[in-house]
Amino acid sequence: MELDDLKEQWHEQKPASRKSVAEIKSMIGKQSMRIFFKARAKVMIEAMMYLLLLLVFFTGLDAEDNSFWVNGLLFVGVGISIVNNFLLHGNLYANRKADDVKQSITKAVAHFKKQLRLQFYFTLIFFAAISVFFLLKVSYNHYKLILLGVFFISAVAIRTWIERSAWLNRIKQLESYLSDLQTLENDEKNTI
Amino acid sequence: LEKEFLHIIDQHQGIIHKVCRIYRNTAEDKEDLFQEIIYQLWKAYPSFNSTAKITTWMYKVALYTAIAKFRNAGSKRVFEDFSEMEISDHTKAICESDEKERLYKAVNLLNPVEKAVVMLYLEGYTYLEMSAVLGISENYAGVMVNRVKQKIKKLLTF
Repeated sequence: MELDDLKEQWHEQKPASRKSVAEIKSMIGKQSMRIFFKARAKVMIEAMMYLLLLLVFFTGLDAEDNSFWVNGLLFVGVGISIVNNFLLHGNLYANRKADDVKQSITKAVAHFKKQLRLQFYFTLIFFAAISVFFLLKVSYNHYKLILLGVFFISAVAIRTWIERSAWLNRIKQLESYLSDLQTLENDEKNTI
Repeated sequence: LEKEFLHIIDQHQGIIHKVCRIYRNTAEDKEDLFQEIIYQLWKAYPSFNSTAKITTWMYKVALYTAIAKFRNAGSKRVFEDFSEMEISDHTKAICESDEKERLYKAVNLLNPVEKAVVMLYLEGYTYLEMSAVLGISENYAGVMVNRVKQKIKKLLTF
C-alpha cells in the first residue's frame, strides 16, 4: 500500500461535524475563542499588576516629592510594558497577507525576534525608572548604590531570561520548519 | 465582504477539516485549530487576490496556522512522543490497524512540513501549485513528494 492509495478515500471523506454558517460567523470574532481568551486573560492580569505597581509607587512611596520627570519616566516605563504585552499577544499568529507558508513562517520569526528585542529595551526602561525613583529618594552611600545596581541588573536579567526562554523555544521550532524548506531548496541548487 | 467570506468558507470548509485531521489528534484540539484557521482566514481575506484560486489561498493560511501553532501542549506532547519512540513502538502502533489506517498513522509520524506536502499531494495539487502554497521551487516540490513517499514506505515496512 502506498500514499496514492489514500487519494480516493481522501477525496471522499466528509467532515465529522460540518459547521453551519452561523457557527462560522461566531468564529470570526476573537471573543468566542478559548485560546484567545487565555492569551487575553494573561495580558489583562499582567496589565493589572503593572497598574497596581504604579498605584503603590504613586500613593504609598511619596511620589509627589519627586521631580516630574522621575514620575514621568516610571509612568512611561509601565505604559510601554503594558502596550508591548498587548502587541505581543495580540499579534501572535496574525498573518494578514496571502503569503506562502515559507514567507509566513519567515515573517513570524522576524516578528517574534523584533518583539523580544523590544521587550528587552522596555524591561531596561522599566527597571531603570524604578531604580531612579529610589535613587533620588534615599540618601545613598557606596554600599546602597552597589545594592541598587545588583537589583537593577538581576531584575533585568531575570525578566529577560523568562521572556526569552518562553519565546526562544517557539522561534527555534519555527526556524526548524523553515530550515526544512530552505535546506531542500539549497540541496536543489547544489544538485543543479 | 462578510457574507461573501462566509459563503466561501461554507463551500470549502472540507479543506479546514482535513488540515485539522492531519495536524491534531484530539477532538478538542481539532476544534481549536478549526476556529483559529477561520479567524486567520477572515483576517487575511481583505488581502486575497480574487484572481487567485480560493482553495490555494485557503491552504496557504490553514497550513501556516497549523504549522505555526503546532506547539500547543496536547499536540506537542503527542508529536514528541512519536518522535521519541523506537521503531519497534512505531511498528506496534501501526500493525494494530488496517492498511489505510496504518497509512494515516504513518502520515501522523511525519513532521509538520512533510504533512503539508502529503496533504497537497493527496488533494491532487500539481508540483507548481504545491510550490505556490509552500514557497519552494516546483522541482523541489517533486523531490519532497518522493522523499515523503519513501519515508512512509519505510515506516510501513517496519
